Amino acid sequence: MSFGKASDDSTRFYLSVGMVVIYLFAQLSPLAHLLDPGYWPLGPLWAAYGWSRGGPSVRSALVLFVLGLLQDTISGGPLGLWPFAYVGAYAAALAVPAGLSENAALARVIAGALGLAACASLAIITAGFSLGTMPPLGPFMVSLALTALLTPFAGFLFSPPKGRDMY
Amino acid sequence: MLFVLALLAVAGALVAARGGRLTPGGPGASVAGNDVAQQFSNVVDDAVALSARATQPVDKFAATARDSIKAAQALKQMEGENTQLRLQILELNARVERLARYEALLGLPPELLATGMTARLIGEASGPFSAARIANAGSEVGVKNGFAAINEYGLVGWVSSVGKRSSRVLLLTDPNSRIPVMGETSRVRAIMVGDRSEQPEMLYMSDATRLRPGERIMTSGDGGLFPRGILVGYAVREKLSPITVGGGPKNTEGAVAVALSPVRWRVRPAADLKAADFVRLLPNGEIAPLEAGAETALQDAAARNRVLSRPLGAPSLATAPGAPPPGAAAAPAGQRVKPKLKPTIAVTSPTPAPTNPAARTTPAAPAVSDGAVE
Repeated sequence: MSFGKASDDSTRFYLSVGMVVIYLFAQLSPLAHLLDPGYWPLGPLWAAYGWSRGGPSVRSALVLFVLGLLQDTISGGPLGLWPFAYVGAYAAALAVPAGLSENAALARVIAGALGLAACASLAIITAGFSLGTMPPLGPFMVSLALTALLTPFAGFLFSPPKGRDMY
Repeated sequence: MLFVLALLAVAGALVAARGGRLTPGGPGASVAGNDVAQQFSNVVDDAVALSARATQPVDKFAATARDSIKAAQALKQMEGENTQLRLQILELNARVERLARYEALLGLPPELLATGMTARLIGEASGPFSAARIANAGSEVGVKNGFAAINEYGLVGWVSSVGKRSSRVLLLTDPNSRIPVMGETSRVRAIMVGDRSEQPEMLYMSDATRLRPGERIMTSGDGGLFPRGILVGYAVREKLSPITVGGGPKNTEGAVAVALSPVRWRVRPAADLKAADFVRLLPNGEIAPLEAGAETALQDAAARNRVLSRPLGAPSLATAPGAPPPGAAAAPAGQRVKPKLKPTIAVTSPTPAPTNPAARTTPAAPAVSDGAVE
């Protein structure tokens, strides 16, 4: 029985990884007339937030790192920018105070905010180091805002099964 | 007249065919009058329709004739334009030949005409910190890193990475993009830096005061990154508010430049980067490193240039203290050499081979027989 549960969890996990990969590759499509690719919401950040609700996991962190590398390669951005940002966001989202676990809604909001802030700060710092100058932050801020706005709708794709939710 | 008579005859025939009769006046005169009017109206309608059908071929013929006349006029006009274009081609060919001869006389290293290959931008590859496109041509067809990507309007970007069948074209607006440019008329040199805005910024300008708004900005070819003279865009002067002056680029030189002048120069790209579709990928000019022999050739060329630029009647280099007399050995002692008004230029190597690194780096100076000047 436990094996079946583990298998279900893995399937669920890899399906969500597949969705993120498809989402990242979709950014290669010529859709600039709809939305500038720089403004696209950060899909792996939804995954980082959703997976953090299932508790700490090395597998999730590694997959986020690889997804970040994939986004680096696809977007042509400075190498290493997104892996650090996503793993950092995952770690930050995990660091919700234990006392808040009873108030699930507040805990989710705080986890999302922490993840977003960590991702933003790490991405800006890494981009600043990589490019040599402070990059223009306008598109990135739009992208972050869209990610935050869509998290309540997209986050459920990555949330753990009910009953194993930390907060 | 004949047509009207025919029309009336047709109308009469139609009336007869309908069996209509004109009723004289009487008690039912108004009703009968209405019938007659109606019948007459019908007859006229039928006659008009019939005449229209009858004249249809004539109308068609007239329209065809009009079209033929217009086509003939257009053909004549195009023939005239074609003749003019052929004359222009002849003139341009003559100019190209003259230019080649001048370059050969001056010993200029030949600038290879960019050929390249055409590719289509098939995808986006951008992010918040980058702006790039994917082109459907890669190493399989000879694309290499650093190739310039242009379209019919101007520079679009350059190839930053190459796959087998695709390559990534970094747009001018990418923050990683650094392109040496210059003003077309002012020759002000600068580095154009993308900042993901629609108009990249110009930094490290040699003399910003000489640049004019709207001036065409071209690639300068410095560093051999791009061929020289590709249209990039147009200069745009941006007035900075006092708050913005301090918030310029974070690098040292740029910050100083912005602090000294309360304006910032940008480039409005000539090509619409968002609508870019087909691009031409041009190879960059490779510049060979300066070799030891080339340095000597440079000094030699400089000395010869001094001879050439010396005014007539001025003392020759041979009489200058410490200078070796170039023609002393050629003229025997006591023999007077007839002075020449102009130095004879004999081009020994009119077109240096592009494969020769020294020749590509240093212009091959013409061999001047200045020994015969005195």
